[in-house]
Amino acid sequence: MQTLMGFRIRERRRELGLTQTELAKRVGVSPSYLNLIEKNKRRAAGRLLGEIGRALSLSIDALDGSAERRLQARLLELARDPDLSEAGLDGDESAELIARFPAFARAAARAHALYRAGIEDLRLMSDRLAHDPVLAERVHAMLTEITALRSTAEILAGADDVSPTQRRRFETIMREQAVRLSDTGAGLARYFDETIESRRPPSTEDDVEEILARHADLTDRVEREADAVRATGDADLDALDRAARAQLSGPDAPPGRQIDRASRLDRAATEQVERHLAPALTALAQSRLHDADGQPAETRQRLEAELSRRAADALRAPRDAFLALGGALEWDLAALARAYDGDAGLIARRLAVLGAPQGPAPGVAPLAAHAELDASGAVLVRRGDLDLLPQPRQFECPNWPAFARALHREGVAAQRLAAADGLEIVAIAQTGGPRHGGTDRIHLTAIDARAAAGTAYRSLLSTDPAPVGPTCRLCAHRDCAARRSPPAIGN
Amino acid sequence: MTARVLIVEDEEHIVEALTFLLAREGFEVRARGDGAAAVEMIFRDPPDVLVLDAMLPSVDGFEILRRLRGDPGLETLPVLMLTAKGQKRDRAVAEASGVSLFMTKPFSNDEVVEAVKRLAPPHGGA
Repeated sequence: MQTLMGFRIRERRRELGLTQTELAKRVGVSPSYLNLIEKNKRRAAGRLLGEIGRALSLSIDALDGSAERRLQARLLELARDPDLSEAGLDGDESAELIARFPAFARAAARAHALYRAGIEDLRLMSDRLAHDPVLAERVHAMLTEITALRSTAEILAGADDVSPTQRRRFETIMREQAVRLSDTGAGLARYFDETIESRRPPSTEDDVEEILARHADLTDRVEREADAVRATGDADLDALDRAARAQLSGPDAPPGRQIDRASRLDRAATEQVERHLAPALTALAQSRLHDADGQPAETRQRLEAELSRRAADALRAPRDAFLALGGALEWDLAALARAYDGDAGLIARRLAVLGAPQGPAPGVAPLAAHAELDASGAVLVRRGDLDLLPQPRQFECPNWPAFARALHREGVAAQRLAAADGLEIVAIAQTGGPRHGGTDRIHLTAIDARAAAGTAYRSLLSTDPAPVGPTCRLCAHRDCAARRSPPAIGN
Repeated sequence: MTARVLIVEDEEHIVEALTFLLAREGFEVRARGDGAAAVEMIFRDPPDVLVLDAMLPSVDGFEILRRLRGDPGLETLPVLMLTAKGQKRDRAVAEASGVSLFMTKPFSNDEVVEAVKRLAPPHGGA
């Protein structure tokens, strides 16, 4: 997945009419090293990546190719799909497909995602037919009512010896059964609809993530909007918190209800965003959807929700102060969370949004990714540099620290990890912050190991990395002690 | 002597239809909608044929069947089980519980009448 940057650098250099020697001189490396970068045998990062971007007049995001890498990951998933094995797809050709036919590549990835979602829906419905007690009860009720209706109808149709009184009685039964059957049928249809609608189509989350990655300026816009609200003085969260506490301790307060400060501030910030920024964020979201034809309404809603979330976080942890404190603490996420009322989610989200390839550096946070998981392990939201998180989106590899015992005992777990493609990551999992439905959320932050060398997690770099892969069936780490099933290829 | 049929089914309209059909064929028909009440009646005054729904309040049809087959006096009582649960596993459970005939809903009137006639003792009741 890191192969596209070299192609992109080479193509752009050629567009600008630069030789390798000229570009190498401009960015401060040898021509031979630049040649290795263009052939994807070395990866440019940090300062060098910034220099190359400036020399080629390309943004880091465009040069870095994050969106294309995510697209390639989806195409690789398509190529590995057992249902498509007869097509003989070569995953190595995905890079060329993206480079030469980007629209077809996106369409193929989207079609595959929709196909898998459909298969999953069928499996879910099949499972429910077999195991769902509510569904079983409703089907049984329907069949019983059909039986009564059929028996009664056969009597009326075939019997010459039915008395007028009996005939009227059976006709009444038929009417009653028809009504009950239609009610049961409608209820069953609603139940199936709820089953389908309760599953969010994966393509909507992917689309939102891609829009946010493609339009990196959205982060700056949201930060400026939050700064403007703060400047009005209406978003003094401490004052709002004092007012909220007074209300909660008043005579009308629910008895025995304790709400921690993080939750109170989160609520106050969310209310301020709703009051001051809702129209602006709606317009901002809509302005970025025009290039995504056929996006469902849910995509717009989720994009607006994410922008609102980021604005509320920006009110609670203004960018400059957050970056200054984070740098002072060497990006120790546990210490940073303690400074923000124990809200691990706030810290993880801010880092994912504000991280930059040049970090860690004075005033610059390291590039990071954030995955928010619920208590069952389902991934709810992903942010930041998504190449640092598993593909596909679920954490199916047991070596991710999200469920480490230390997490539940101490609230934080950190682990050095090595992906099959050579990428090394430091992953930090924390709980803490507003609860949802009475349960904690797990916040997992992933940082490139090279960037982690400049943080409080540098000591992890002297430990052996644990291998991580997509799933055991697709993972190349054959000697992993945590492997649950043999690999599908080359077993 | 008239053969006596006990219908154990909680859907009243099915009971009305089956009662009409079986009475027309000369059977003496009684009915109970609750499994526990049905068990009490069967042990107190056994019918000649039992038409038994699988899904019942309090005690289900499979449990009733197992209790009957555990009693020396009722282990040969003919039982027609009616159920909306028609999968192989349900049939296997019913047969393991000692059912005489198994019929899935919805059934035709002719089918259920023929089944009861087949299970009834010859020349009426015992």
